[in-house]
Amino acid sequence: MKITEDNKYELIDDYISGKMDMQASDLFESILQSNEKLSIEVSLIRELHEFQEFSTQESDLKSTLNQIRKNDKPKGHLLKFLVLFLIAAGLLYMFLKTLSQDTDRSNNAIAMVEPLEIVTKDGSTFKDLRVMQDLYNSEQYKSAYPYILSYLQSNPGDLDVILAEGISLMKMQKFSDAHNVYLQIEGLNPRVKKYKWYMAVNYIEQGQNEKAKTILNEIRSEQSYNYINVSSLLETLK
Amino acid sequence: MSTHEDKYLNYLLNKDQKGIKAIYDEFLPKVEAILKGIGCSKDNAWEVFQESLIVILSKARKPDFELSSSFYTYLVSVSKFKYYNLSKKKYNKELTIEEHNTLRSADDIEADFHQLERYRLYKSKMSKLSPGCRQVLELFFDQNSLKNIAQRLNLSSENAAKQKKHQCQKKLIALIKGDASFKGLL
Repeated sequence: MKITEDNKYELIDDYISGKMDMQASDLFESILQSNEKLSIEVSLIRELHEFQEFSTQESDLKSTLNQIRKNDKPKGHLLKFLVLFLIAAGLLYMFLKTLSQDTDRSNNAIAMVEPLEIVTKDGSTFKDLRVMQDLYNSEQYKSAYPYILSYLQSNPGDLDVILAEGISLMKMQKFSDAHNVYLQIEGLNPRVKKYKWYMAVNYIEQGQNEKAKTILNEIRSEQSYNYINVSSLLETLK
Repeated sequence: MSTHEDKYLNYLLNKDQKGIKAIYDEFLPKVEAILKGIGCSKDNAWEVFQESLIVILSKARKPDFELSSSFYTYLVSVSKFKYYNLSKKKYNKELTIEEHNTLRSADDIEADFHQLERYRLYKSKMSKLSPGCRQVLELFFDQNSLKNIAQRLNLSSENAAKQKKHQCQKKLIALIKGDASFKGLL
């Protein structure tokens, strides 16, 4: 098969559309294997056939999302009402704050619990992987916990799942057990210091703010995980 | 892929407005919170969220695509990758070891974003062609036969359509391959 500048695109089109007979197609494929330039052109033309349909779908999705966002934003008088409401709520909050120091200060920190991302690491060896992820990600920590323990039996070194064990225990208010799990991670000397953030959150949950502050200051000076949120969290702990 | 997770992909594929609103309501606040935790602004988080859904849409179109995690987990991975990439481009910020470690399946996601960038490059190069060329190629890429193209564009014969398509395709491919970014997107 002779491929020239004149017949190249015709051959590629026939190959992609399946118009080429089997013998010619096999021959063309063997040429593709040794001709990188041609191979790139085939991929490019194949994508040109795909991109047009995708382009329409992309525009539709973008306009739908922008419409949803537009409708989601408060408008006009609603905005005025919202501003007044927020001012009133702020004043009420400050008043209540002076009356009591028992405000729940940890909500912001707790909201930072991330979803598990262990799929690519484990492959398919753990059959309940999805169940574990979905339970954990939907914040059903008590139900996720047995799956986490079971996973760790076969994958004892998976730091993210050990961390998930600690977070689950913390959410189940087993603070001391959670702390031990974080210490276990510290003992493994990981390069990612995510556990420190959760160790601090664990202290806050127990009302041990001074201990939490020490760890948060360490996070800030090391610029480790979530350091960007340390200042605002420390502010709430004053 | 479970039917439960299928539903989100189908919302995207079928332009299901109610379904897309459900994705927006359920996942945007969570993704925003996570992105803010790694230094992303609210406006950038919205941009990242949109782009991530577009990448998932382009993946979901492939017949062999299967979600190996929950939709939410996948969306978070894609969003984080997009944010780190955006920071790198906008602020010339390199990934720290810590950030690198949070991106577990970065290679796959990088390939998906590259494909999206290629699609956008094709679109921009198509717009540089003459209206006549664009029409021929749009019809051709839309699986129309040369005979049909000749009829619809009032060309003298199927052979004339073939010649025109050949010239325009050659021009388009030269424009794409001549773009400085093309090689980096392969």
